[in-house]
Amino acid sequence: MKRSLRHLTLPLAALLLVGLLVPATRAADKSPAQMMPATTLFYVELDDPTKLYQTLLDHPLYKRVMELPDVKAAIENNPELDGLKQAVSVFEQQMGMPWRQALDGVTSKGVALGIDMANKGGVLLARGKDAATVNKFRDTVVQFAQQAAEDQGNANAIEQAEYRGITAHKLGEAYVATVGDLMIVTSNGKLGQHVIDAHLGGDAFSLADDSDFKAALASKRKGVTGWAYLKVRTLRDLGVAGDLLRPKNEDPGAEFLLGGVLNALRQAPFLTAEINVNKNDLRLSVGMPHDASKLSKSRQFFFAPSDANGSAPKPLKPDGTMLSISTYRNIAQFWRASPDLFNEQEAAKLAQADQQLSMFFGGRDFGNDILASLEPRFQFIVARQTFNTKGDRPIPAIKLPAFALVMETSKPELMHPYMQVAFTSSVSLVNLGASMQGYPMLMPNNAKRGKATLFSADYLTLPEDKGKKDAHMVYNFTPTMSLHGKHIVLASTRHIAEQVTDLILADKADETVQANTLIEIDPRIASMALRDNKEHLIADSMLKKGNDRATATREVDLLLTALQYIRGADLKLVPDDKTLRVELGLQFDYEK
Amino acid sequence: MSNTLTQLDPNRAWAAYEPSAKRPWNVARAAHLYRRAGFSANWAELQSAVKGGPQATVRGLMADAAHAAASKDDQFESQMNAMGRTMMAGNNPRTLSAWWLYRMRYTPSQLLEKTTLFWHGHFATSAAKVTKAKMMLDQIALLRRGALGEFEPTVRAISRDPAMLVWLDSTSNRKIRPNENYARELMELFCLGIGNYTETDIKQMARAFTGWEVRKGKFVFNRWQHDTGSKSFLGASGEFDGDDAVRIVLEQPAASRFIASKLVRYFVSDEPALPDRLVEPLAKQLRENGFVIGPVVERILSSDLFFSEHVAARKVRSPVDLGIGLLRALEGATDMYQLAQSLDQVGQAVMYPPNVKGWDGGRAWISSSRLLGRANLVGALTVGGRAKFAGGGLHTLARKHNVSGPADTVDWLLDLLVATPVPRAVRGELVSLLQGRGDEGKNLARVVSAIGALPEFQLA
Repeated sequence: MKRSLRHLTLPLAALLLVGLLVPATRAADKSPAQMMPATTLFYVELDDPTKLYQTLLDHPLYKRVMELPDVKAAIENNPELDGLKQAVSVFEQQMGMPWRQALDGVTSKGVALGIDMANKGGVLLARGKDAATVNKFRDTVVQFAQQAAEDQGNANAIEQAEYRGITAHKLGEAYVATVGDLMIVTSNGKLGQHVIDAHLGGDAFSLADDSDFKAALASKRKGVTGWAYLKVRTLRDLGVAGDLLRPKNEDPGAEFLLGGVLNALRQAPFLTAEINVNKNDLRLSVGMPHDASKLSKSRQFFFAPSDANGSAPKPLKPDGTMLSISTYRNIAQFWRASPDLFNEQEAAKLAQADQQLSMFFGGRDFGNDILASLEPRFQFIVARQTFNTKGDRPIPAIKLPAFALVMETSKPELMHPYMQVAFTSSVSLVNLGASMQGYPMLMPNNAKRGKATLFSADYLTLPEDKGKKDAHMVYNFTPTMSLHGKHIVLASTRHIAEQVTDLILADKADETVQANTLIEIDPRIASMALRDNKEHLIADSMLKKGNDRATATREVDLLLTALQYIRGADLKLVPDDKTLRVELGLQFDYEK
Repeated sequence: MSNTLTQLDPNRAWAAYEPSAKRPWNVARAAHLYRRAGFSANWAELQSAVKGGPQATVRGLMADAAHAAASKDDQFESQMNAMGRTMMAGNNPRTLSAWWLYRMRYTPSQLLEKTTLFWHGHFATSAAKVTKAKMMLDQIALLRRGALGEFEPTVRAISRDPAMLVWLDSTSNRKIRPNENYARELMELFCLGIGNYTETDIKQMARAFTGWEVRKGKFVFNRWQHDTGSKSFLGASGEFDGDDAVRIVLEQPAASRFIASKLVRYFVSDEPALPDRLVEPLAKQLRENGFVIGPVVERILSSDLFFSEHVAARKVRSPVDLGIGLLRALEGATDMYQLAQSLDQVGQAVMYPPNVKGWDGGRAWISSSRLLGRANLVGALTVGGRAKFAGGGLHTLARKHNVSGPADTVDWLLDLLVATPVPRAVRGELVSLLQGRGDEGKNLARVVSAIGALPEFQLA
């Protein structure tokens, strides 16, 4: 900044008086967005940072985690943190107050951060309690940096510059200046000048005047902890994230899961995010304008047509469910639209897969007959699996959770026989491979459960595996298919298939939720599933970090304990006529 | 000691080294011992070795190895075995490479692990073809059990080892068409060397191994496929089976010379090769003492020759010696998966030797691209921040050992890491680098990275 400002010093000195005469109240009225350039690409603001610090740092969960012996020991015995602790201590002495009080003093009236594309820099604006507190904070930071530079043998490292009577200090790559109760930190001198000009009464076109920003700001709800804005239009124009925003995707999995969101991103002028943090939960909502009526035909598989019920089924939750994904997707439409959705290579692969999969279904056309008979409602359920340790049945060394895919068909009379054919063919294919590799073989069987029919296959125990506690991973599986009316369940184990079938038989499978996609996680059960594989996690940590066993064990225990403090996590995709929102929620459990 | 290797008196060469004013027992010689008998020693180990004296230090290394090989309740061994079984569950031999490197880094018995690595190169078997993690893990365990023990049981066991049989396409060896691969390698690469057998010996011996098969990952003897007829090879005739073949091979005078030469090349010197008359006392020791490896290794490591100028810094560090050595010397911890990949890039992927002959070693470790790769590896671990040293940065390690001041720190690092003195000008540049502006830890990392690029660092 010094170099960029030096040539302006003399002419600006004449303006200094004018600058000083600008009434402070006029500047204070300006919002951060009014001080940032219209070319700002990304903007985030915290209206009440104090509340956020309090929520986070006084949160019972934070205190509990910090009191965990392993966390305490890690903080106390980490030589890398010694320098930081010392620095904080010196800073507090110089400020004459604890660091939290100092931070609160300099940010109490709000903080905003902007990234500007035109100047290729960022600016942080913090409005503090009063000018004296903000100036003291600045002086302490500058003094601190000066001392650090001197310790490195560079006494003149801190440069200074003036602009319109305001002094800026260069600390490393950043410029710091204060005006009244406002602190400006920027990585770019011109950006700093823009903020100062706007603050002192300039009337340049600002971010707040931008029509996209205005539209975005209008959707901001009162009382949110933080709010962010990203001008996607600019990103597209710059060709950033080109791969992500290409009209044709290369990954069918990503297209199936996120195709609608990516499509909306390709058209949305901006994206907003809101975060709410309180004692019991954290909620993040990312939204963008979305016009359902303009949706391309090829992506109607993702969102239902406006006159249909496009909601996801309400998740079925058998015992031990740790993850459930419930979604609306018209898979037949997705399959048919593949030439429009994917590049030539991927589309060709899907066409080939169509032919091969048709063989599994007794020659029926996979896309036009089988997939077209499926309703656009899918559920994927993952549940912790427990093993009987008393019998001869081998227990796998890596204990995988069980999973089930729940589908619905509009033509049960057509699908049931062909699903049986496909199941039998799959078992035969697996047995063929197993016999070549010396793995156990699958023994098929079937049984009735209420009105449902279960087709399953058990791995025959190899004599040498009897009673083994570290057996092959195949013993995690008893592949099972359950057929009942419109419901088809494909499961990795008979147990989860039975449980899901019971829920279907109890008419729990027809409800819906107000979301296109709903993902729910139970971290406490996930923690138990991870604990089942603790030895593997410890070994992996030892190899990945080179830790000794004791350290790796502590790290794994900490992860498992931390997961216990989260009661639940969910992710929702919620479209309506005008917007598309992705909502993430975390619920805390600090009562334990 | 005479001036050239050819002039050395064999008896004196293998006599125990006795420190003298001219050739004192010091940090440099202790570091040399650890670089050869293991991967490297850290500062505390070096101090302890200097205090204990050379013979006691070698005896300590041997005792550690014996304890690790024999003890079933040893904490480190049980941890490693449990970890190996866990890794095996995923059936990915690549993870086993990382596991073995971890073991080399932390083993309290460096000599046992270094010798196991020697046998891995000797009975070279690659997971690229074997593909089953369990088979590879079992083979390494077999090699470790026999690393310093009797050679004959090890050869008999390796002849039945499923990984070896898969590797040499001997999973089904039928009497109507005997597979000659194993018989050939047993003589050429494992026990005798080229020129000590004939094609007829191979064909006849192959019949002895018929019926030795692998089914479902396990060795089985299929008596219906075993050729019970009389065979004649290496001057012996009879209704021999595979075990007889191993016995007869090891009875050949060439066997003890071949193994002694390989041990000498591994522990003593790549180039020049030691003359036969220097190797002979070791070969004789093998022959007369039941082909037990440990005492010969102990004799080598305790010898006057081993601590002489003929041997110091006369080997090129293998990639494993370089990577694990750096970590052990500097008490470093890193991502072993990444390290395994990096070592592969510079020519040594453990569990994946390039062919049946194993790694050529010596000058073959060095090429212009590999030199750059080796320097990059050290750079990534230090300047790149991929490793922690004594739980923190290199300055944490220096502080732990009360080392301070640019000149003292550079000398300390050179003592730890380099097998031969570096030119005065180079040392001066390293000191200047450490005196440079900026963060102390980063400067130290730059110095170690610079040491890693020195020609002297490439030698052990």
